[in-house]
Amino acid sequence: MKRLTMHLWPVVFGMALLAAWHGLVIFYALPEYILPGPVAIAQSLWIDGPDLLGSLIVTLQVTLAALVLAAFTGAGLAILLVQFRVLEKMLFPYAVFLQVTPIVTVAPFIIIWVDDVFFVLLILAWMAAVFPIISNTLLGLKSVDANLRDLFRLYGATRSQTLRRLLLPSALPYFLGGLRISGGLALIGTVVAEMVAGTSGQSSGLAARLLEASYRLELSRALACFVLLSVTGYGIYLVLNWVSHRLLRHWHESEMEEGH
Amino acid sequence: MALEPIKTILDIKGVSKTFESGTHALERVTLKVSEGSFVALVGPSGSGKSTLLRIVAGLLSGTSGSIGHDLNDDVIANDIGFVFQDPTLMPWATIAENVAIPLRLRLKGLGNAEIDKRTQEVLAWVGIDAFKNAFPRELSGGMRMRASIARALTTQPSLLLLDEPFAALDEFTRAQLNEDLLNLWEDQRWTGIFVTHSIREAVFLAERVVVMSPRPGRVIADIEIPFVYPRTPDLRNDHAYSDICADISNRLASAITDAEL
Repeated sequence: MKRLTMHLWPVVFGMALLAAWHGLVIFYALPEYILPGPVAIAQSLWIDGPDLLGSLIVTLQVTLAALVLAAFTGAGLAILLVQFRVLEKMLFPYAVFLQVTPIVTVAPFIIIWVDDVFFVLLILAWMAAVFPIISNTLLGLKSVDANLRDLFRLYGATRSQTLRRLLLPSALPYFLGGLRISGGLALIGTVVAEMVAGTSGQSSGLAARLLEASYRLELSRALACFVLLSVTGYGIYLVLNWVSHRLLRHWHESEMEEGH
Repeated sequence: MALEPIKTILDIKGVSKTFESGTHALERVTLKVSEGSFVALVGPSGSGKSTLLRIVAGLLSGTSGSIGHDLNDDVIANDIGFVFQDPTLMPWATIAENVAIPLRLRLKGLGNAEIDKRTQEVLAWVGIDAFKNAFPRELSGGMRMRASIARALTTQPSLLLLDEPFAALDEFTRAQLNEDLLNLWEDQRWTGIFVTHSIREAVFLAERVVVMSPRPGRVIADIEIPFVYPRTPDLRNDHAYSDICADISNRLASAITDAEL
């Protein structure tokens, strides 16, 4: 019962916010092109929903592809860097560049060099998502228990045995932490990329539709897109949280049930 | 029947160790260990006991001196087991998987059925076969240490090196593990080298207690412990036992005073 009320608090807060918003729009009689109320947005979601869903799928495809690509390349790169420290010295500064460079500034070049819009979006979203995975996995690979390392050395473990049975499991919690950050970043990267790439029409992603609607001052529709994107981002977060919990619940402090 | 001469399994000759940091850990330590014996190394913190054990295991190399051995393999590490200060279990693996890891790493051709059989056997030796599917976090400190000992025994080594294994345990658990370890040793007669800074633990367990000085560690006394096996908990109340402990304690105290002067 107590747990239920705990879960109710965010709902109560959300409801209060929506009510205030609704009241504001009614009180000042605001037109749709300035600020539509929650009811108008809900109507737009209901009417345009099926149409927008297609665009959501386009956005989601790019986001997930970028996330999967970032997970593999990020983890792979971290493994490579930790095996050969010279490489780490050589390459890590450039990985930092990848992180600190705003992707908006890279987008025009990618658009010129790459024809296929899907790949343009994929590259930009990947750029946004890959760094936390590299740096977290690298940290995890370096945080292996020193005694366990000695144990593996004592029993003459090969490089691949040490990697598979010691380094990778040790780094898993860190990798998953990076993945949770990157999930959100992949979506943000996709959205920014869509807006910059400036595609339009039904085959384009949700962010492009949002922009399109806002140009036409159809703010209910634009906000419906916004709501769908936010919910998607939250959904990605929940899924990654669940994956992390499934993988770590038996052994890692961060995922232990209370009372253990 | 003529008595066979006792075989020396480990021959440590004049081993010194100075770390790159400049710490002088060991100074010409010489020690012979005969096959099937149980030797305890005692000394204050920083007397290089653990360093010596790591050099024997091949995890560190000495600055000078040599380690000779008569083990079943040319490579010393292939015939030893090592028990660390912490249980050092892989938290992501079950107890059975943890105990099986030396077999998987060293004996690469071994089939799963054989590994399971051997794992089951050593788990039973240390009395934790009921917990084989548990994860380390679910066990108490004492149980985890039992798993750690089981793991060191899976390859059935001739030489078992124990680096202050029970230092972090409560007194009751520690006494119990001391007794169980002795029972295992009497059954299996591997050669044991047990590092501890508890004099009472050393005297209770070992046939021979080697006392080391503060840094740089040297052997300052090598004492035979006359009590017969099996040793029972009653020994801890024995006067002769207390006398030996007091004697070692005095020697250590004077060595520490000397070092400070």
